Amino acid sequence: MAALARLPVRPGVLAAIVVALVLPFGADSAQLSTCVFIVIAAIGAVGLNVLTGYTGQISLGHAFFLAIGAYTAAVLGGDHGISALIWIPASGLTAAACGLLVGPTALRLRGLYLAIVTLGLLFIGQHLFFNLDGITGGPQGRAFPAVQLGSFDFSPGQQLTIGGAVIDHDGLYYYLALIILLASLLFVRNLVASRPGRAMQAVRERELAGAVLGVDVARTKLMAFGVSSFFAGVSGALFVSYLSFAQPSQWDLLLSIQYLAAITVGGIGTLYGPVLGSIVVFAIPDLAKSLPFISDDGTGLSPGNFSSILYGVLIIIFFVVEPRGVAGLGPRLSAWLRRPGAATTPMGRVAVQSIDQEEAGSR
Amino acid sequence: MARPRPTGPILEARDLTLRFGEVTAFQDVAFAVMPGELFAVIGPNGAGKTSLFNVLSRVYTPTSGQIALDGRDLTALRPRDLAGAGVARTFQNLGLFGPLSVLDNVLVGRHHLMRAGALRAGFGLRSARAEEREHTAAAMAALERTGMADVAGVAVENLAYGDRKRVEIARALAMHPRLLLLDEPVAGMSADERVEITELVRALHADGDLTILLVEHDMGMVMRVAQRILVLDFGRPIAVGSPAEIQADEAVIRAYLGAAPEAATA
Repeated sequence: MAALARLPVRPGVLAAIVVALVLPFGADSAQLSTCVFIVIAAIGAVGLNVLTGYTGQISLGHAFFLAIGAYTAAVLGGDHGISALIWIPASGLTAAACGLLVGPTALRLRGLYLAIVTLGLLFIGQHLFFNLDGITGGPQGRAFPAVQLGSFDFSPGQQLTIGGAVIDHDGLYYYLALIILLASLLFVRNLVASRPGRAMQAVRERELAGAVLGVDVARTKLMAFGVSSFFAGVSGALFVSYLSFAQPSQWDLLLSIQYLAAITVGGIGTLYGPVLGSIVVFAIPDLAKSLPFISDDGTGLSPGNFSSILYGVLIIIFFVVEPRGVAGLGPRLSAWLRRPGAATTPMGRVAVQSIDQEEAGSR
Repeated sequence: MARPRPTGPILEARDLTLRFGEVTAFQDVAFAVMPGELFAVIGPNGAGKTSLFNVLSRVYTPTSGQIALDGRDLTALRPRDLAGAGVARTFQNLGLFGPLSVLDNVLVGRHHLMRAGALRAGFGLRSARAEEREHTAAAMAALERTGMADVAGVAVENLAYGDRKRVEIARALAMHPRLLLLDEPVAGMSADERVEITELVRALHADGDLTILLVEHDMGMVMRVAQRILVLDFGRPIAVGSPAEIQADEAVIRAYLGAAPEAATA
């Protein structure tokens, strides 16, 4: 099984990667821009999935760690002109350090109480971001640096020509984020199939049983906070760099909920779930703009409100109907095709037993 | 495994008492388990067996008295130190991680013997992969011993109850314990499963130098496997001895069947 985990990816995943690679050449500028946001957000969702999906610790504070990454990028890349090769990982590390600092408070709590404390973190963050003008620009917000690699930068208007193929500003961010996302997925795949990842899942399932087996529960949770915050930081840094401007009010509860919605809809505690969920959740606001009854001029439902409502509805639907999210729909569908009528068993568990075995093997 | 084997008892309890406020779970319990022995604690419902087990596995701290593991104070250890001290336990209602595969469940039992942290594991470094291979082999060997190797890839939640218990026992074995604590291993099982698990426990004990302490409600099982038995009744030890001695003990018979006039109520 461990040997299987190191085989090259499954055919379906390989196909998805190929589609992702050629996607910029088939999308218009607005669509590509949506895709950039999705891929950047997916990095953060992969991180939250480590904490909430694999370790079972609910956090409403994800937006706080995104912000820490964003402002690290601003200070290092913007104020000090340091290379993106430094500020991208540094954003993750700073956020991870904050995660480790906050962790000890969170260790004493679980479930709803942890959710409330991480919510508190979000509000403390908002207060800080509004008032630390020197770093955040205060309520008006501030500009963020474009990614700069050596003499080449990713600012709007820039483009890269490789053998006739032109990759513009959006495409550059898209590919950079895609590389980081794939690396994140590889990291998490390795992590969850080895000692620390099993410890995280043991803590999620039964803390006491894990402890008796020698798992240091506190350390494991802390590690999950650190890893999760690292990816949030990187995601936040790329996000503001691509946006080039952000205000403190962006790092709010709705942003955290979007990430929770993404991992829930995609399939909590599954490897690719956060990516699938991000596609659904972060494409909604842009798709909503094209719907007839949605308008931005205040006469109808605004895209923002419509999206918020839809997140809530999606979370409820997936919790009730398919707790394994979009990632669970594939196995459910193939089980249904193989044995008509079987897909109606509770939660699809019995029906997809053989697929579970395959999944367990490939993890 | 290279630990020197002391000649004294591996586990020794003296004047052990546990109270919750005014309620006494058990009191003045004393016993010694010798290396390689299969020692059982039995008693009717409410006798304090599970409380005693929870004290031995560091879930509860005794109100008074001492427990020594290899002559050292067991109560100084935290629950997660037990694995490193060579103590493994199973749970009465299974301490397995349902959605994880059988193999992954057993591999968690190797956690304290492994080293890889998040970075080494996440980056898939050679050392982490080698460690993973080595311990996967050990976990598979433990699964072989309990007859569960061919379902290593199956999620535990898809197994029958008796098979789950086998997985849990395999996980405890994979920890390479010197002392194995079994909390009512046949509780809630069908008659067939009871026989199978009883045979498994006996075979595992016969295999090698494992010391086993089990707490059990099922007399039949205990009489078949145990070398020595401690009987608790209402939190007090009423007899210690071989299965034959226990079966002939007046106090034990009274405790299990009730005093002669009320024998029918049992």
